[in-house]
Amino acid sequence: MDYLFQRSLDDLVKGLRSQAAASGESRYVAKALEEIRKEIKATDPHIKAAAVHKLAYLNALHGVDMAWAAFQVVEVMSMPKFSHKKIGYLAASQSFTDSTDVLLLITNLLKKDLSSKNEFEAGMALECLSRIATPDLVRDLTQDVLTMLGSSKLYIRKKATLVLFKVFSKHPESIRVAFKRLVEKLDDRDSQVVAACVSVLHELARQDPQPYLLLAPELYRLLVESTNNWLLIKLVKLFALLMPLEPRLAKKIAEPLCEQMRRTSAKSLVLECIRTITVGLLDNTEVVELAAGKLQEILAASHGGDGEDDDPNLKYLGLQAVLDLLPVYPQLVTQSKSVIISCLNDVDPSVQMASLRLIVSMVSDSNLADTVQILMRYALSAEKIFCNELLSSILSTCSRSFYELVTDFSWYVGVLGELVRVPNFEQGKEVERQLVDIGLRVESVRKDLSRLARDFLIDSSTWENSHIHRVLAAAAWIAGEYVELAGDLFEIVEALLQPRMKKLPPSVQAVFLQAVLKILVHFASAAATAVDAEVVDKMVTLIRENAGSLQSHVDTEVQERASNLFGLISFIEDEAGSGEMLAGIREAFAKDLGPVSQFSQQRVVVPDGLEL
Amino acid sequence: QIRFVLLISRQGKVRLTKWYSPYTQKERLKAIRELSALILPRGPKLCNFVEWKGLKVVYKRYASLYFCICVDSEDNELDGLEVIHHYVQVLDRYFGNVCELDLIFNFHKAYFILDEILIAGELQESSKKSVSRVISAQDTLVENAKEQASSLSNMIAQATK
Repeated sequence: MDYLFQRSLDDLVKGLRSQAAASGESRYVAKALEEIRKEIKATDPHIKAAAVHKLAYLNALHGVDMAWAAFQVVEVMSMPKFSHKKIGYLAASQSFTDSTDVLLLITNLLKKDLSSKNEFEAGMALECLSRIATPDLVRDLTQDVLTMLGSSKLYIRKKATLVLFKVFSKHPESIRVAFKRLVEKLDDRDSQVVAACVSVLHELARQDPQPYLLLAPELYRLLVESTNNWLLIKLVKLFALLMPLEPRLAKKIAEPLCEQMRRTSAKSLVLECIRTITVGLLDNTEVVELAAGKLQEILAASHGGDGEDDDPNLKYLGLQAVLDLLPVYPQLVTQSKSVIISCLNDVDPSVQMASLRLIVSMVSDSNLADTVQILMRYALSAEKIFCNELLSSILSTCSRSFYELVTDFSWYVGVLGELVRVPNFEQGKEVERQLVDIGLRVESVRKDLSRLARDFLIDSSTWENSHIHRVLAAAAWIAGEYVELAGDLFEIVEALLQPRMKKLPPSVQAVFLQAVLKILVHFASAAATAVDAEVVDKMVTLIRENAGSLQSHVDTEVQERASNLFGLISFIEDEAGSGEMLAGIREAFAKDLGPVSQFSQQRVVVPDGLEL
Repeated sequence: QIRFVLLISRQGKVRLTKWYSPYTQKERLKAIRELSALILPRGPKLCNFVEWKGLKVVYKRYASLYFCICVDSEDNELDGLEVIHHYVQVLDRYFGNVCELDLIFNFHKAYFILDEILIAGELQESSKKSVSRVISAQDTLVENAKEQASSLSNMIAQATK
């Protein structure tokens, strides 16, 4: 009579739900576990089974560990009553792992249940086996499963076929024995068993397609005759695995594939066919054209008029498929251009990224300007992450293979300027690298660069975005390096020394100071007239005022450069001989430094006696 | 193949978990946590597929429950949605306008039904009628067994053992 007082599953669930806080819930679970531990030791089958039932619930939904109860679970599995057995099997299926030691005990139990006259008991045992199979268990029970393949009950045949997959994965030697029996199932009178068989073949072929090639004629027949969508998808996938092995196969199935694509209304099947075509049939123009046509339909269908009826799944999958077909059918992109571009604006980030990838892969030197313009337009309105994806793809596409695609560098320098001003801009480092890189490589565009640099330095409103700082460093460097091309040098020095620069990171400040040095040298040594000399004086005064404090800056690099600068100034003011010295320094700056190889340092021989 | 099935409520409570691949208890909890964080915040207009650890997770929200299945990266996503819909339809047929509460109090039945639709991570039965028939037959067996157990003679026999 004890079980009258045992808390049932219902009570447990209700009790849990009435706990408001998480702490209350865990206390309740702990209490329930205590009760279960006592109940599970009972001899009364009903009490034991109910305890296991509750434990299975806690394990499945609350992650409570039940490995300690494995033995009791086996006890419940061996109970004669169907209701108890089922609970035991559920618990086993849920919680047994490869390392559960009581697995040795259930071999005989499973054997008995597998051959039970009651198809549901047998089915239960099959399901359990599929979940907890270990190599030992499988070895002992393979024969039983094979016998079940021939059962008169469809229910059993179907399950047994699918469980064979688990059998083969855990015990690969059994394939030799059982393969023939499995293949027989392709001819089973019942379509569900045939479908099960194809599923198993597909999973096996994923690991090694070669042995299944000889089944191609059978599979071909099924491909042509079947109307079951699930089965067709599996078949198409299976052929995708087989096609690379046998080129004639591709030709043969082209026709049935097209037929299926034309006939079916299921988009899942159409997409699967397209994927298979991408794998093996790209040289068959007729097939590709049909696929492209279907894909266009899908893309068009995925776009409702006003964005309300959009189907995000079709959009995403459609775009992916277009990317796959791109090598053979680039027209598809131009045909669906408007759809693809509008996807840049989509709510769904995966759709946005898919669309961006497509656009980037279609870029050529003739459409570069247009593409960049479109991407920039969307970047202005996009939110942060995607905006930077857009910007970084512009940067990487244009700089690909040493700026292969860029024909007009003047234009590109302008683009870089615009890019930096986009809100949410975060690509500071890359822009810095490219600005300096272009300056070094493309002489003709240095004037544009200088102008750009001047704009950045003077317009300090953009300085707030911390990502700009690297760009400023590049701007300062350009200003100093191409000092002959700059316009009003005084203006630039003013900009370089404005109070705001002290808030920039020390590395950037250091570059600024160096640029001031270069400009001063250039200007001072070129000062021919008295008017110029006055300007030099003004410059010096300016430097004194603004950069004086930097001589005692915390950062050593800044300090050093500031000191250099002031050393130079004191030199200039000391008139005697400064003219030659200045000319010398200027010449040093004028010579272009060639690039140094990465390994040069290693080639320098360490002199004897030098300890590093 | 399907790696696992998760049913999670909108508030992040787990309603069903079925693992077809080996996942330790710790890995299971981690997967549940990560996928809840990935899927629950997604708006209704986003596509029903997410990538997770080199696998794909196909999900669909029905009322207050998210049905998620984790598949291999080569598997067909729309097919996955069909499997979920199939399961939901059978549940609906069985419970009659199924709601989350039905699944909370009858978790074992939800499992039994799932076990008739999927086995070893593959679809085993695509006909809803067949699945319903099989489940009713098993229900009858269970009921008969329970009736036997609660019959008076049995209780007396137990008490006097």
